[in-house]
Amino acid sequence: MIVAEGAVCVFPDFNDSDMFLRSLYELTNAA
Amino acid sequence: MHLVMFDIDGTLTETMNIDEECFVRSFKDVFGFADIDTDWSHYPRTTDYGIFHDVFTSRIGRSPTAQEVSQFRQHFIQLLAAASSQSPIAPIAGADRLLSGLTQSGSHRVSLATGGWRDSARLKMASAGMCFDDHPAASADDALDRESIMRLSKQRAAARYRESFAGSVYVGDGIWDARACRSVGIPFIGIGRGSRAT
Repeated sequence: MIVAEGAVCVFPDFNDSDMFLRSLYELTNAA
Repeated sequence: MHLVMFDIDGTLTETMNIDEECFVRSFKDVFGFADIDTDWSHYPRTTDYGIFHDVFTSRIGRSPTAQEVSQFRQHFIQLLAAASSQSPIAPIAGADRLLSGLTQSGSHRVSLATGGWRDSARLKMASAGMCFDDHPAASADDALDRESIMRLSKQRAAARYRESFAGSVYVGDGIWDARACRSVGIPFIGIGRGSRAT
């Protein structure tokens, strides 16, 4: 549902912090 | 420098169920209200204060007084405290580590923007092993709607860190978070599984 409402990406939790941080950096660098 | 704003319930702490149970029970205990609609996405302002205000107004026909808000909030937090003392609240997996890492990073700052009331957020984070007061924050004590809470969190982060931000990202778990981000114009990263995610 949150994807349909516009989430750029979705994670089940923060266990894969590398993947989360990579997405975060891509997102903030693109902004 | 970029700002990462975090929601708390369902994002940093596993509290959606306990929060809902205590919230609904508080309506019954304090005002005798039953049959509360617990699909929070139906409410125009999905915050503790916003939902309380809308339910109270629809049942009583007027806005709650400051004393009634305080009475409800106090009871709700007492129920949460009792529940969390019996069974400590779990963090969302990896949340505490991620927060610590981001706080020490040279590229991002952290703030909290929660639709919960401040004392309940403080209690839930403490029970889950995190510290609410480590971060600049805005909560339902500050505004009825999430958009205002997000803007205020960003303002407080700018004041605390003494800098302006090149950009902001919000991390949350609810469709109300996604809608508020769209309204404020900031990117939204979702936390969720299964049908809540997609």
